[in-house]
Amino acid sequence: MATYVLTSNPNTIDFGHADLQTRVETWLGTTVAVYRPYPFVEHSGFSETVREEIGLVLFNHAEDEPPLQEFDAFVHAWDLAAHLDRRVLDLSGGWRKYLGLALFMNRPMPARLLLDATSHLSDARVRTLLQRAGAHGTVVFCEYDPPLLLALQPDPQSPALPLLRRLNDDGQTVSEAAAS
Amino acid sequence: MAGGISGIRAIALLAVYIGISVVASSLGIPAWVSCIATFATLFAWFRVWPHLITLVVIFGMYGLVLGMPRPEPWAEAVPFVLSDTSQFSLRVLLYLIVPMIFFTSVVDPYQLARDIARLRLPGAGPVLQLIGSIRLAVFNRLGEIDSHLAVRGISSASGVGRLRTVGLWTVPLLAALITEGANRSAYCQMLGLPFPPKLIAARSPVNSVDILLFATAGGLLLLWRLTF
Repeated sequence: MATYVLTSNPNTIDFGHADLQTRVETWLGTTVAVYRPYPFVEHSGFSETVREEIGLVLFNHAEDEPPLQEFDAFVHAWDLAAHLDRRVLDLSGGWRKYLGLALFMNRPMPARLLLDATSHLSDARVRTLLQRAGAHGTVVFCEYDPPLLLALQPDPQSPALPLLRRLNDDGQTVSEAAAS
Repeated sequence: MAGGISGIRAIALLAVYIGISVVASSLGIPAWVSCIATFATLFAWFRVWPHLITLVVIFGMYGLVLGMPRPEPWAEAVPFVLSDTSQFSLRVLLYLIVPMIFFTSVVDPYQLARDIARLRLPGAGPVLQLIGSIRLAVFNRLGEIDSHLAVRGISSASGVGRLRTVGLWTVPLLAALITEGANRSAYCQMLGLPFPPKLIAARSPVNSVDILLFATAGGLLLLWRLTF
């Protein structure tokens, strides 16, 4: 299990993510689940509060794909307790995105490719995401501005950040950067 | 309730309306009069004025189309058009559209979906919620478009401003809603959900107001049954 930051042509995130997924899968030798933001959609739309949104997603997991964490453990791990009774539509854009990311990370997948996952998130939320990301499988972050993620400073009050290994994508293949 | 009334309250109000309508009909008051009177009161009580304007526009246009060719003065033409059964009746439109627009504007779509989900009709809850939440989606997208316009120095948040900038927000609003519909399915699948997902059935709160409304409706129906 490792956490990677992939440097690629920024246009790939918008226009070539399907090919990028194939290249990452080839490099990792396994299938990856892809997270990417969808315009105008930051929650399922079928629930009113954060509590209902989490309950809805956990309830609808396929039988052969049980969630990694059940409700209480999930809420605790992702620091969502303070927001449980707020309406999802009343959350800030960053928190809405974080909630979706947390629910995505709760799927039992061997590897994940996160496209433009950290934009709009506060540094504190990105730290939590990084700390939780590598706990259950390999994670590859592909950002518009990877140096921002690589330069994120750890918070002395919270657990250490995982080692971020660097990957390069030249449009044909993905390879680990020599300097990582 | 923050998002509107529950499905139970909506059913209770509908039952009261039906009770009023049958009793009034027995007293010789036409059903379209009791429909207009009941829902005018409800629109005023819940203060959903924008939707009342929508109704005025719909029926104004319909009335113009049907009323214009008539030789009588308007005051006589309107009851004639309302009673005319030779073509698609305006009354049918009245009985369908007025309650529909009222309940769409006041019912909490989330609570309605929860209530429907309890009936265990496959797919009905999510479909109803999709339809009901269009209202929320429209307001959310309009809010975003307003703020995008505001940073460019264009004020469109007021009612008059909306009319002035109609060409600026109509196209992005439609594009956003169509995109949202398509992307919502993809988003649910990304989180590992079927689309539409199964809703968690939560009991709708039933309080003294709902009981009073159901009792009123029952009383009216009893009065109608025993008296007429």
